[in-house]
Amino acid sequence: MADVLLSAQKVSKRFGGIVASDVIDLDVEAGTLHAIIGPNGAGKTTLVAQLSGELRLDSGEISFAGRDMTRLAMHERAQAGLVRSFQITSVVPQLTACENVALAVQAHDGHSFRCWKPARSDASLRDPALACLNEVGLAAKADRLVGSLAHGEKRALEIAMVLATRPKMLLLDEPMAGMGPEDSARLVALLAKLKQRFTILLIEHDMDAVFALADRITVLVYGRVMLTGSPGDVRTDPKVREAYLGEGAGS
Amino acid sequence: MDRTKVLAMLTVLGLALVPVAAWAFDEPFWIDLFARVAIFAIAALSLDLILGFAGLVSFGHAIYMGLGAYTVGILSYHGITAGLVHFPAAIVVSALAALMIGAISLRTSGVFFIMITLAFGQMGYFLAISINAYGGDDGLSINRQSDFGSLLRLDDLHVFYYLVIVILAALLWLGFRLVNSRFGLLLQAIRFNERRMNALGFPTFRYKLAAFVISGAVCGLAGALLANLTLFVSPSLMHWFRSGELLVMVIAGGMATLVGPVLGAIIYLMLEHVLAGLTVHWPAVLGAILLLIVLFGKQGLAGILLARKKVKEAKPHG
Repeated sequence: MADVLLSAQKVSKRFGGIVASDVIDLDVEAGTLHAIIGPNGAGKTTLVAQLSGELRLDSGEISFAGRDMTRLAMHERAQAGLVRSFQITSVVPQLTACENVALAVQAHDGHSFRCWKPARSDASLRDPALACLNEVGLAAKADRLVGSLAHGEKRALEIAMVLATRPKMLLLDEPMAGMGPEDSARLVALLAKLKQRFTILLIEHDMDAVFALADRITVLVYGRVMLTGSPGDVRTDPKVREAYLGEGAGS
Repeated sequence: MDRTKVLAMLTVLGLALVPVAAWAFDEPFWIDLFARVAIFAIAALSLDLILGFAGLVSFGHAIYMGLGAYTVGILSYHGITAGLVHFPAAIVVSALAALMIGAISLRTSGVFFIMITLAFGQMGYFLAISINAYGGDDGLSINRQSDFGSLLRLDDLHVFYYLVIVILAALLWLGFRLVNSRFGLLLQAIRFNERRMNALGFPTFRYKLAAFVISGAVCGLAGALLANLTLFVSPSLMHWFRSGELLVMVIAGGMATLVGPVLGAIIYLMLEHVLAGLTVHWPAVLGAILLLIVLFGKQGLAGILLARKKVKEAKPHG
């Protein structure tokens, strides 16, 4: 078995009487694309929030790259290399695409108390930002205000921002959300390229995308792990078919 | 050069010409009035950094002005007259107060932040009232202006006036540098989406606190200047009404423009002066005029002056 990069042990969270995550164990091996699927309300969003540090755990432990992260704040986990994207596009609409990505570069290189030099013309921010935009196919839109970008472009920008922080691992929360088939296909191609360089945890509703990309899949139902296995295992598992995929899926 | 900076330069130039106009029209009182305007412009400018750029609605900003003024007053009371002590002390005292107040209030947001800063402001007000050694409710008179030797005689109103204008101009210039720097852009991004900046790896609290402290320190400097102008400090400097006035100056002048708050201070204090001479009901008229400014220009007075066809594409900064 390869090295485990991200490991969650017995992670739990309840909101009042609702158990949002119920002793979840999750190991993501370095260099793989691990997908998490599950019906609405399965606790996927809660799990992302727990892994990224936005929500405290009620119990359980999270380690990343051999380091205990259970009590680290969100920004500390991001600094350690575990960087998330958002399901709802979460960029600064009043800035240009390049300025948004430059902020992500800035987050990584640790000099944000600089008060003097104009940031917009700073090549040490702009060049890496342009490289990331180029990677997601947005180089031509670098100086457009984000508010004027199409939905699919904003989703790609979301990923460019994550890349610009030089992460060890990407935590992608429904990157295809709200996308048409063409944009989805483009994003699948991008993720296929990125998975050669990064470990990725992908939370996604789009089953075609998941089965096309994932090395391993974890099925979450009612806050519990129903199954973790290869796409083949998941596709043929009768319980999963019943609970989630429905009759005829994957056939 | 962009239009906001041009407007800032014209505004400063206009203020610099006030003593000439005062001499030409034989209205020496104008210098005194506009010195006050420029000092409040500095205070409003400091508030704009956190209100306009970082989106932090501080409803207790007058406390830093009060602390700066009281620092000068109390040091003078104890016989320390050196300006080189007064001004640094005023800045340090208000910066430390901002550090403490910010460290607590920045843990909240929205309405709670407004209420906590308001509460701290009122604490300052009541503290000043209760300390009888320094005049309590009656305030504290200051014998003479801060002493900078014969080089810079603040008791000469012209010298003092131009000192205030130079400080205002310098702060505007520094402000434009700051809001377009890495730090400034990050502050603006935090205003739009703090959670995202957190997720990218920014310890956002630290940056907001730094802005809060810078803002408090500059406001304390304005307070020290005000004490030198009026030679009198009183608790009313810190009353929440003062904090509200600063907010009005920034909002009516134009948030996140830096020059806006300066225009806001000019228009607010001028209207107050003119209207108070006409009617005892001046606050009602003032309120109506400010309402119109805000209704017709989302970016306040600066927004109206800088308006162009491409309003939608206008960036929220200088």
